[in-house]
Amino acid sequence: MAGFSTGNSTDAAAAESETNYPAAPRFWQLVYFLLTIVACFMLLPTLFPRVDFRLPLTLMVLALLLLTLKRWTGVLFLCVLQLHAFVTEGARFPTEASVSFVWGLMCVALVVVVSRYRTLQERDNQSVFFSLGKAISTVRKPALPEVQILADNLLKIVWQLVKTALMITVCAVVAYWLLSSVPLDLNAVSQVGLQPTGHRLIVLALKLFIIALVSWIAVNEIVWRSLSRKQAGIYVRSTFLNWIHRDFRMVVARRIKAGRPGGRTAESNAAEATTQDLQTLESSE
Amino acid sequence: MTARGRLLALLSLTGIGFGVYFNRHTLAWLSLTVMVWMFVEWLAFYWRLWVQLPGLKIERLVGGKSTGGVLFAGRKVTVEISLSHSGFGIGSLLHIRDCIPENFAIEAGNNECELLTRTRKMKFTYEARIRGAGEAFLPGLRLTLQDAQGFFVSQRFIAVEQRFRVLPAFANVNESQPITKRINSLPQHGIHRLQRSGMGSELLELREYAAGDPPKSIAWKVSARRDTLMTRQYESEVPVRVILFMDGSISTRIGGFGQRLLDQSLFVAGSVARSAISVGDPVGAVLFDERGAKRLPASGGERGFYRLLDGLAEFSVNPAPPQQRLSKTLINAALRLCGERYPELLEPQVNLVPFTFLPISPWKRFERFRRTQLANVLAEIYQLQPIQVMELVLDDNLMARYAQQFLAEAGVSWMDPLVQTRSRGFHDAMATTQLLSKAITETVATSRDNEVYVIMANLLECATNISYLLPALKMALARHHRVVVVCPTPTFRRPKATAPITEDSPTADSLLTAAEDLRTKELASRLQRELRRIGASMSLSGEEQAIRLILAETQLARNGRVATAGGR
Repeated sequence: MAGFSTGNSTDAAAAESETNYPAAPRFWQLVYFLLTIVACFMLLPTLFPRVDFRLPLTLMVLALLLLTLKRWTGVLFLCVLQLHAFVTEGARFPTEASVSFVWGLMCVALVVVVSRYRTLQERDNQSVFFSLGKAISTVRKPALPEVQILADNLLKIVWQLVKTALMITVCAVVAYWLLSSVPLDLNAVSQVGLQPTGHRLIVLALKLFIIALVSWIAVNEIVWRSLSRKQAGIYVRSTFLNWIHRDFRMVVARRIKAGRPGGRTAESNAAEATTQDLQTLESSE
Repeated sequence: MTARGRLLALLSLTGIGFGVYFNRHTLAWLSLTVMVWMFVEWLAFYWRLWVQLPGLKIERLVGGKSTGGVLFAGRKVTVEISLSHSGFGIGSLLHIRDCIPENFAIEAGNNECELLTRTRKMKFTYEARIRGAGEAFLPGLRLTLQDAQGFFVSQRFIAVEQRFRVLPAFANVNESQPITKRINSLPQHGIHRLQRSGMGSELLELREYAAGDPPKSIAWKVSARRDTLMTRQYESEVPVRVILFMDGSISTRIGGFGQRLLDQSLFVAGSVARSAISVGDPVGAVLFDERGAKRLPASGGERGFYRLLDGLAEFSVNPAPPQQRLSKTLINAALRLCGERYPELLEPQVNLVPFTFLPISPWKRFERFRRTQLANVLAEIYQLQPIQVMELVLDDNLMARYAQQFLAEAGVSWMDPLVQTRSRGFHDAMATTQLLSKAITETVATSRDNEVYVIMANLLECATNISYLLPALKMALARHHRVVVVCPTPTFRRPKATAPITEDSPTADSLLTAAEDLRTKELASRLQRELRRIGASMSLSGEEQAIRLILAETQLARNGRVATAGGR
């Protein structure tokens, strides 16, 4: 993979090395993998604190970390974290809300860095050991143009991490506000005959559904109006085909069957009709 | 949305459900945060796709040219691609790939690049070697836009069309003119002596006076000595025309660009033409294939040379391929090309496939689904009627025809699955010899003196039945023309005379090469025997030896020697 170049680079030599040297994406892979390790080991002590299987748990997390080198494990990590939250939290409001907030941010950050690392690795299309090995050797003994590339990219990574952290924080705040906007209604049993938690779930689901539906309609309207000429043509043709698919299939299947050897063709029908006409004419004469 | 995104969304929704129902607030809040984050990424992705991406401008320079032009086979060319964005730049993660034709082979750099951060301008270059003569069409660039997490992906194709005529490669063979003066005259450039009676300045012979001879040609002194009137006969001074007979039948076009038998012939033709024109001899060509024969009149000079190369390049563009049976590999190849050039037309939102109960088997349903999608795309490209879409889905012959046309127009070489590379064999060679025989006969009928006929055709397959061609060759030789036959070989080299396998543990490839060598050698020796018997020269393969043989024959023709039939 080659050809990464920034818009601000003015040095011709650096620009040329940037366009031909694949250091930047592999450096990013290395950074995200290191962040994955850090996030894992920061979250590990907090998982299932009151149970006595620290060793198997540690081994499982290490296994997931190793599996990240080969496959995307974001959903597995999220499973483990959700299980921890379900098992360890009581069915009441948590007292240490601020710790849970940070912990929640770290959980989402772990899923983010795992996903980013796997996306870059899949784009690289090389083996993990090759990519990380190249990145490590570049960092250990960089040549002169590579130093500038690495320095530029380090700043970009830091800026992107800051943006990501801010975005996750905003999403966490919005999620908290959404949950708070649908409080538990203890009178739900008498009013609608539902458990308070069930009522809360239905109201929240309806809210989320309406938000999703409005967004989906808005996005699809923009997409629909941005279709290219060819896309519009193929849509019209395939929709029309959809409507009268059965009739067309019957007509075409008959045509193909008539055209096959041994089948009656239009010519053979015409020839037979002519012969019969001639015979009729002769007999009448 | 990718499978990864769907899985994470499902898990988050489940977490929200369990968290709210069982009153686990941290679980509910964590899962809802993930959902909100995915929703924000979704909005940002669509913003990038529909608002930022249309503002991207791409420019491609091939050898410094932004539009079409002329390239040469066998030479390198530098391709530079510049991207710029009119607004605040385009965000990550954007993968850009320049769709290069099969005729391009990348030598340095890469035709892909990745944008990892928001970028307003960037540039990347690569070097490519042109494989074979004909045409090179660069359709555009394929963009894959993905969010940084891999939850959403979309492909687009941006058309940046450039079409190039690729002229054949040629070798600059040095023609060495003799240093020692053999004759006491200096004919003008492009004119050579011919030892036949004509209007030249050198004496050929003396003969007895015949009624009608001009009085000024009487040799008075000799006539006085012999006591009978004698006439001076002068030599002819004629240009040595080289006529190239190029076989472009199906068997010569099969194979990758640069690997076809036609490419060998083109290299020989270009080299011979270069050498001949440099000494002033005009060169013409007769290009024949299943479509008929096309004549390029003999012309000299640099302009004539490039006109000839242009004609050869146009001839080497593959025509419509012969009809093949539909196969899965053909459909897969067409679908791959659709995915590369028209990814937006394969999106399920616009490319609708009707629901049917049959077939029941999931694998057959999937095949029918893909075939219907391909039929829809082909119908849009070739502006077919809706009923023709149904014909494409159900009629294998029609689908094969359109799929082949689609692949051929995209510049795919004549290999599997576009054209079955079975041994074309005896019947194709018979057709070639008949076409060639007719072309030679017509050329001899309109020829002048002292021409060199270079026949580049795939004659190895009909070595046992060369008799169809011999009458035409004999006629050409009887008219005192020189005939050289060059047979391109599949292995691109002369078959070895000795035992080909010398390794201790030969591989399958070496065994196949050895078998091909033996077969070619046997056919070649039969052909050589027949052709030498009538006085024609023959060479195998497109190597330097073939070029040197042709130049040697041309030199003999320039020396003015007239070969008798059957002799050299």
